[in-house]
Amino acid sequence: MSDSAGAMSLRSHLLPLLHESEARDGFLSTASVTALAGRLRIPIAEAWEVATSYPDFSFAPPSSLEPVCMGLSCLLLGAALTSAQRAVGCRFRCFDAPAPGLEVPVPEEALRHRGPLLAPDVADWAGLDRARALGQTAALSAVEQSGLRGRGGAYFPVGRKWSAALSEGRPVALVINAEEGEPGVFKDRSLLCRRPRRFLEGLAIAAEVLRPALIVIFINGEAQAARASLDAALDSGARLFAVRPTVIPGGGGYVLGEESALLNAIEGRKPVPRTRPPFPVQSGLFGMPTVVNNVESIAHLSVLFREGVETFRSRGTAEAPGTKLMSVSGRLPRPGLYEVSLGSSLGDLVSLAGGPLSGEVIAVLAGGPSGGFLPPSEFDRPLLPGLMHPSGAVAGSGGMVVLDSTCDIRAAALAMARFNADESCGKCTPCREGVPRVHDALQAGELEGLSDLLEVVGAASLCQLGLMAPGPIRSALHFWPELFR
Amino acid sequence: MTLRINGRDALPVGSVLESILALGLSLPHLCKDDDLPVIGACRTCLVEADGRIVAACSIPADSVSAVNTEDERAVRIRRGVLELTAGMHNLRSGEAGGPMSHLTTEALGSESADSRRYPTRTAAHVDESNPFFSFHEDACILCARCVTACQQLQHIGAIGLTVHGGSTRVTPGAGVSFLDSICTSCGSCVATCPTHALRPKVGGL
Amino acid sequence: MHRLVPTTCPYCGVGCGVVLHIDSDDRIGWVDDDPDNLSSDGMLCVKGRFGTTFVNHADRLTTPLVRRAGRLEPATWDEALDLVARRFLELRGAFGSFASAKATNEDAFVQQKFTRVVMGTNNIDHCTRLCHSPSVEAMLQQLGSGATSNSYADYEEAACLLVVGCDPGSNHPVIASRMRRAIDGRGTKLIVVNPRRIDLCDRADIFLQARPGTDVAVFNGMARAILDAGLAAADFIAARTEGYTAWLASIQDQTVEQCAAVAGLDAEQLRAAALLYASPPPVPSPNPGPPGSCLIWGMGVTQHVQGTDNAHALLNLALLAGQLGRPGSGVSPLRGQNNVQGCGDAGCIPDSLPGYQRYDDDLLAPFEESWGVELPRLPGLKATDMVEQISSGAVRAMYIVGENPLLSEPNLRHAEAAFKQLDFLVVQDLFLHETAALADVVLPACSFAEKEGTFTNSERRVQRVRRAISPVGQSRADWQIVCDIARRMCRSLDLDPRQFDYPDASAVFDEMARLTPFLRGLSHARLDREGGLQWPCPTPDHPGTRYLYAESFPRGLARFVPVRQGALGEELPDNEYPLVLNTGRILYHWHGGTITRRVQGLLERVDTIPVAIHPADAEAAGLVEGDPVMVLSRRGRLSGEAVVSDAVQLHNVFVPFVKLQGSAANFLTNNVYDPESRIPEYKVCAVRIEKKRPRRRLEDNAGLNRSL
Repeated sequence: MSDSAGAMSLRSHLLPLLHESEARDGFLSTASVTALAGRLRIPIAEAWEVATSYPDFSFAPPSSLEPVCMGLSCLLLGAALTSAQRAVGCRFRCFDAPAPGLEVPVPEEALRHRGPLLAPDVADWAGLDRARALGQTAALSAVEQSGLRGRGGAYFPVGRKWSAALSEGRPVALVINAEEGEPGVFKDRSLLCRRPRRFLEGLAIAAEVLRPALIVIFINGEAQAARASLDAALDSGARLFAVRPTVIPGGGGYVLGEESALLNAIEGRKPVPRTRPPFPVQSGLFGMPTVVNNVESIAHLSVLFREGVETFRSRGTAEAPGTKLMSVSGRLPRPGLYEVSLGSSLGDLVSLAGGPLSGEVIAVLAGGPSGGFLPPSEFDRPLLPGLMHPSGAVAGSGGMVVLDSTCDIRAAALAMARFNADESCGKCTPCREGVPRVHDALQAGELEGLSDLLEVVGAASLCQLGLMAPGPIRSALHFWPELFR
Repeated sequence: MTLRINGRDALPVGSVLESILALGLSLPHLCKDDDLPVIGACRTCLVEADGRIVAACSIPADSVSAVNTEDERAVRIRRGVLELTAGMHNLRSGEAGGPMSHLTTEALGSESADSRRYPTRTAAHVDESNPFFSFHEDACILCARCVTACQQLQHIGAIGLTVHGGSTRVTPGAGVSFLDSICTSCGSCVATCPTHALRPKVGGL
Repeated sequence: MHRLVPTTCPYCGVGCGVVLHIDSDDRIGWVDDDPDNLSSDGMLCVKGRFGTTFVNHADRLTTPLVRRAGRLEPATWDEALDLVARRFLELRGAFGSFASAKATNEDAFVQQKFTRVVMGTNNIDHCTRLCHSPSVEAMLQQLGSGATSNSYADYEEAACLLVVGCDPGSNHPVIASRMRRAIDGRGTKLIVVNPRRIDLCDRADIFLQARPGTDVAVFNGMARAILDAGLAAADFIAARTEGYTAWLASIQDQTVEQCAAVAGLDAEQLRAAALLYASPPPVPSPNPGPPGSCLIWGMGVTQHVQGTDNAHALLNLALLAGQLGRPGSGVSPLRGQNNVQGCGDAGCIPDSLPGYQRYDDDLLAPFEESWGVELPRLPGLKATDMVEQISSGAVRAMYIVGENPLLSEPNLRHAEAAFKQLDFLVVQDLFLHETAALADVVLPACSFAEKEGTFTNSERRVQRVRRAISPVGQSRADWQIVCDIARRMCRSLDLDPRQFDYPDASAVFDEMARLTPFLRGLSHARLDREGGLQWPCPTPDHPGTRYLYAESFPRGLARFVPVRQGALGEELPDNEYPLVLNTGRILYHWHGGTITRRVQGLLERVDTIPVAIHPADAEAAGLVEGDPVMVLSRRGRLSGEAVVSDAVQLHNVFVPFVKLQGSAANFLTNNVYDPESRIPEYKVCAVRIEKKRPRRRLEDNAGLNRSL
């Protein structure tokens, strides 16, 4: 069996080694980064620009203050700081908000509504056996016929992505995005923690079809529990792969949801998006045709090959078959993970999760910082690919934050603008310069010219992070204009 | 596929941007140096192509059929991007390096942008340690041409874009001066800087 | 408004394209890179970009100078040229000439023509004697041509680069960039062989830090490792080479372990390097066939008393591995000066005519017919021998163009004593340098920016040099000055003065191209049209030649030449002088520094000689970084500043040979020579180092230079 790590460049060891160095010293120093740069034969300025790009690395001795999660759901549920505490961004445990700022393994109880994907973890490899029995071509066409779309938020048809990469006629790289950096979303962590074999079978099926020269799983660096569960699964399932997958821990950054930024991160380069074309399926990781799939997308393959195309397509809609994991949190009694058919309504999902904690539900933030707010009058809109409402709301990767009568929509919108400003990778001008100015204008109540600015950010930015950043603001202004006067 | 630009037949050469410039039309392109790879950071070459707003530098000319540089929305958005760019650039600093920088030429000129629409957000750092050139951060628009030239043309890697978001900066080494970095003073960064943030100490362009 | 003039960089042999921006004061305001130049591909280094202000430096010679009552005083051109013509006539028969590898092909061609036709001697040479004469000698013997066999493009298509005894990051920065581009972008492997850790080692897969003077052991050891591993290119050796069996027998008794021990290397490392060179892992490449390796070397190989043997050992290795004659492979001596290739091509060497044509009747015939004179048939004196022959009286008059031997010769006190014995010395240059200060007549020459012509770079690319500004003062192009002297002498010698009457530089080039088969397809007009072209280019429709030896070698079969490791140097350390001095160059200065000391920024960057010393030696001598130090050899001393660094080996000292604050390494070096090429041993001599008592620092280098 060959090892994916062996096929990678020296430079691609940078991120893992930065993690090692930080774990050893408690923080990254110029001396430790310089030493790593020398070892990997990278100029120091290039190693330094990579290291400093990741929000999760610290460059000073760690604070003794206790971290407290200040993600939106935690804020809505009253998170506050004492003098012995410090604020951190969303730590992805919105299912038990308000929460301390440390990740924990996702408990089984957080899996509130289970469909075929969240059914008890697989005990055998029947799905993989089925794929192998079909052979590469038939398995690929099953994926195409299933209509399975990516579950990372863009909903690009998985089969089409695969065949595009294969049609390049060169060895393919398979990259699994397990970075999951969107506040309010914890589905991939849940799968890796609770259904690792489901994911592993999906991965083996993907490898069966793509015959990749290397497989990289890029996992959120803070997701220790998911990482441990993944490693254990990979060890136990090693024999499923002709090429041993390698796991690279990220250093945080919402922009890693963008495939090409993720590829740069794996290559040990500054994690910023690349221009397209070429698309990753043409020239991605190390110039290879590259398939980037989300953890959930991969896990669905297990369901697909166990149930067959027909059963798979019996859920969801013709255009968007299957189920979707929705991370539901905020002001409701039963926050957690809900597996629902694509096309079900937002309102049904809110009801399933128990409605408001107090008073009325006044809004749902659908799609987090890249989505938008919807008032109850819009709750009959289906959870489907694309915009749920022209002002910004999306099903996206499934993050739904519920606001009830106790909540301040303006404050929530500002928090999203702040998040997008903080998480801008800084590469392109409209996002880097525009989003902070959106936040500041909104906060100061200066609405004149704001829609022009939102248009610029939403049309001129390099990647989806910037292009979708106006959503929360635009939707809040659309539905609750009076709050901003 | 035939290409029409602003209603005229055009030869698809390289990118949409190159095809536009080949026709003699003007279009800002602050982060695109003819001799460096596409960066796609400045977003000032936006045009309408087959109904979409795209950065002309990044799109192969043979992948689109109709391009309009004068599309009302494209013009408006392009102007907005230039105004945001001007907001991070001390215009007077840029001019000190010699003739007007590309930014002032393009932001104030052809695109009729309001260079003072946004209050400036510039860093004041000046690095004059290198005997041949100086770096004036208040003129830097983070277009990444200098870093691209250093890392991908000369393969020196003396400078990088550190941190992220609004804190992004061009930084030599791990935060040392240009003089104390591994910079070999090849001047490729100075040659490609569109705003004179990096400028020669002797002579001038 | 400013004007843009595309031309060629005057510094190293890379031959970068530059675009001079000329401001309204007729000065160079900015130097831009030229992305259309195939050698430099849009890159420049600090010297090319920021180092051309010397052109307008106040020290430029603006009038001829003639020595009157012991002092050099301004004179008219007629006075000076008449005097030169008269004295050269008187001393004809005891004449020697140094041509300039910094001047154009046209300048060089006219100077060798003057030397042969008017002075009737082959005593002409240039600085290749001091840098790559052993490489040229060895390549001529083994391959039949002394030129670089490949192109920079091949470095970027290679799977492995073996970089020996050179520091491209300092001396050929744009080549270093192209190497790094291959390494970073395509995964090309890099092996560095050098007694000193150079910048490129940051990206090297294998660094062999050999003891100075052990090159033959290193390359015989690598050859042995290739043989042991069965990686010898059997088909290539059988079809394309001769002398293999005898060579094979010659290294039978040397094991990899023994060679490694001599060189102070780890045998496994040496073996790994050999196998990597012979059979590198593939990289993405446009070329069919096995992955190629390029062998690139510099003066660390050549500047030894066994320099030619070292070069033989290198070439044997390339032949054994079959790493030449196809894209992505080849052998490259990196040329130091902008036109050192062209100066040799143009015939400024004592043993051959333009185009490396020997003094055989059939080869002489076209020249004699064209020039209307019978040419000398005896090989002339080599540069180093000319200096050594001054004391014997064989050389009494010298004409030195664009060279400063009193910084570049070894053991400068010895050299200065020799030059002082000359009856008549003419120096033609930009500045009144150390050698010019001794001259009887000094003639002001134009810089690269003030004249038309061509340079030929390290990859045999002939490129245009264009006049961008008016000549400074009364300075004139070298070839014009030489023609003026020649015409003054022709009448007395019954020669046709029209032989030295060219309307312009392109007419000179045309004559050179007509007489040089490998340049015959070139002309200024064609170079203007198509950009630089690589010779051989025999016809006007020939596209030029990227790499040589695809089908055959100029001598037919390439030849293996057995060589054995000799003494590590002529003068080795002892108790009195316990350290080995290694000399070389640094990024911010050019050779002796005559030019770069006149560029403010470069001087600002380095204004004192950096003396690199190993931490243990520094500790023993009580030195810390930045201490003023004195380095002493049996021949002289220099002052510098300690740079404590483990980049140099224990008991080694590295000093660049630039002259700063009156000190220069060549006061220390040893005037002993390689018997075949007559190159001096710049790379090894014995020194000791002492801490210097602090003393007031000379503040004005420029002032110091003016006082020379």
